[in-house]
Amino acid sequence: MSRGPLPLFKSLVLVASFAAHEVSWSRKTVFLGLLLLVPAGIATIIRSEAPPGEVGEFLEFGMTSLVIGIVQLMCLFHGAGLIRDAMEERTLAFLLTRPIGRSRVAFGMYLGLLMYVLPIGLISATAGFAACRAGLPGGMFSDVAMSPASAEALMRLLQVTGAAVVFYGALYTLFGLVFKASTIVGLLFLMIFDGLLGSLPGPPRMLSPMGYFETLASPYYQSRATMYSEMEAHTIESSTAVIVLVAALLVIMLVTRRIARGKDFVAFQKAQ
Amino acid sequence: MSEPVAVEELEVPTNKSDPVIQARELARWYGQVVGLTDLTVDVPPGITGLLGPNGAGKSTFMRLLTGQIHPSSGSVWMLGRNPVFQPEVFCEVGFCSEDDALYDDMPARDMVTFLARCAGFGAHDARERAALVLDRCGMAHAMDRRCGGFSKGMRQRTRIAAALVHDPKLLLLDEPMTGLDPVGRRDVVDILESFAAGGGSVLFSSHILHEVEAVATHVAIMNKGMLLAEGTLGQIQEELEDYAFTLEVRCSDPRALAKALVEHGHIVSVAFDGEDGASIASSSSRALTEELPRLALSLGIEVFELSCPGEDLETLFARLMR
Repeated sequence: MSRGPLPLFKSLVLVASFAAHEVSWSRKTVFLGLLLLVPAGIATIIRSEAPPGEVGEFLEFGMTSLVIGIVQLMCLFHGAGLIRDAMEERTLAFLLTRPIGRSRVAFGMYLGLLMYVLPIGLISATAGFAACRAGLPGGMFSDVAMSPASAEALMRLLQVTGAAVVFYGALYTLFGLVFKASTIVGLLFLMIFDGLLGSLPGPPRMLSPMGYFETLASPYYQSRATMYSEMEAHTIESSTAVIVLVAALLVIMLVTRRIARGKDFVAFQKAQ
Repeated sequence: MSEPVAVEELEVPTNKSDPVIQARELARWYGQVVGLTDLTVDVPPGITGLLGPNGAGKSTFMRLLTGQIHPSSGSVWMLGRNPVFQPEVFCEVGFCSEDDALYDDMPARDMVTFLARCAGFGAHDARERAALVLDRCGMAHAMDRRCGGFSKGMRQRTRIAAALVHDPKLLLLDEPMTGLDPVGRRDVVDILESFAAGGGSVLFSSHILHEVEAVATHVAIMNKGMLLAEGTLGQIQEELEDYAFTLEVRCSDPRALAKALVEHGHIVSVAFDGEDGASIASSSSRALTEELPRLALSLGIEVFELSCPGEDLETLFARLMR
């Protein structure tokens, strides 16, 4: 009485819900959960210690990088490990020997990562925003209703955070599929491309996904290196950022699909 | 990463005697190490034992069958379908790997339910089937406990339950009895036999000869990545070339029979056992089995009983290894 193969959507949802369960029960969860409080914590410190107005600047330029950095770390530690851990623990064979298909397993795991990281990333961004703006005129929780400018800034922050989770989740899922030491490779990518190149004022910044997300967060954003200086920086247009990020995401998806179909899903074979 | 092999369409077997697994010139290398080489085999319905020492290529064959790895060359089909490019075949195939892997954070019932759902069952059906199959595998008492706390035998039973939960037609088991106590082994044998009695086919690997001998109707023997022999025990014996052989005979006049046989050069030794028994060792199995009946007939000797001590799978295996 065996049944037929599952439709695409149902199989993706099944694998995704399973992957989200795996992610939420992993040992990394508590440590990474604490990171979510960092934006709100820093905003609170700035508000209590720095001169008035500093927190506005932090919200405009620093918050996005911080939130993106944190969701990126969550995508890295969870996403890079999802498939790789299942390969090394040899549990991936359970999914590969069901009528699902290899690429659906990979994309289902990616969706599971989004199901877990996206809501908590958005909550972290909202909490950071609230810590910056709460009680200020036109801000959150004040006597005056939230001003349109404030609401727009929050929406932009949430959109960029969501887009960053979708992008980095796909990127680090692909890393997990390709590299044995996927977390280390991911950390190197984060440090070199987003940490170093993303901070530079010149064209190398265009190699950094973070540079594009920062552009989307604030049209006035130039680069972290030139934020407080008079230096002329290489700017990225918002429309260019959207096109580049969408194109890069599509490429990542296509490469993931191809590798998932052609890959040997046994972590290693001892020499016989 | 090896390049995917093109999908070749085969007819889905409709006849009950059609092979359930077909491999053609199947090979797999791990860098310079040969995992499997030039394997061509048709696995018939029923219970087939895949026998070979560690490193023979049994697990590589299982991984190729289940699409976990790609062949370096050649092709493989299960129930007429390619396991990598036609994953729908897993609606009808259950697999239990040799790895001691389970979702340790999940209770056994939840895990088996999830895997049943992946095979297309609805949530309610899947949960009921999971409970039934875990019960059948002797896990009723522990199905709501997390797999992480299970003993090795319980883990193996849970994995077999996961392979059976979607009611497959073909069951692939890689070293299914490893780590089980004698009772556990007996239970697994019972499960396999009842599965086969219900019309299912089984391919299981083992390096333990008597396990295969006890259950399998068909045997494939592998070593160093090659298929040495395949068929029923009798067929394999027939395929073997001449070999040293001992025959025990009970007849009306063993001494006369032995004397006539000794005149032929291949007899190595004769030991008598009472008035009517003799154990005759020959350097040529073929010569002995051909000459003995002819001589007995011509001398008018009545033969009561013939037996071949040691002519079990183990002896056969040792001969093939040589």
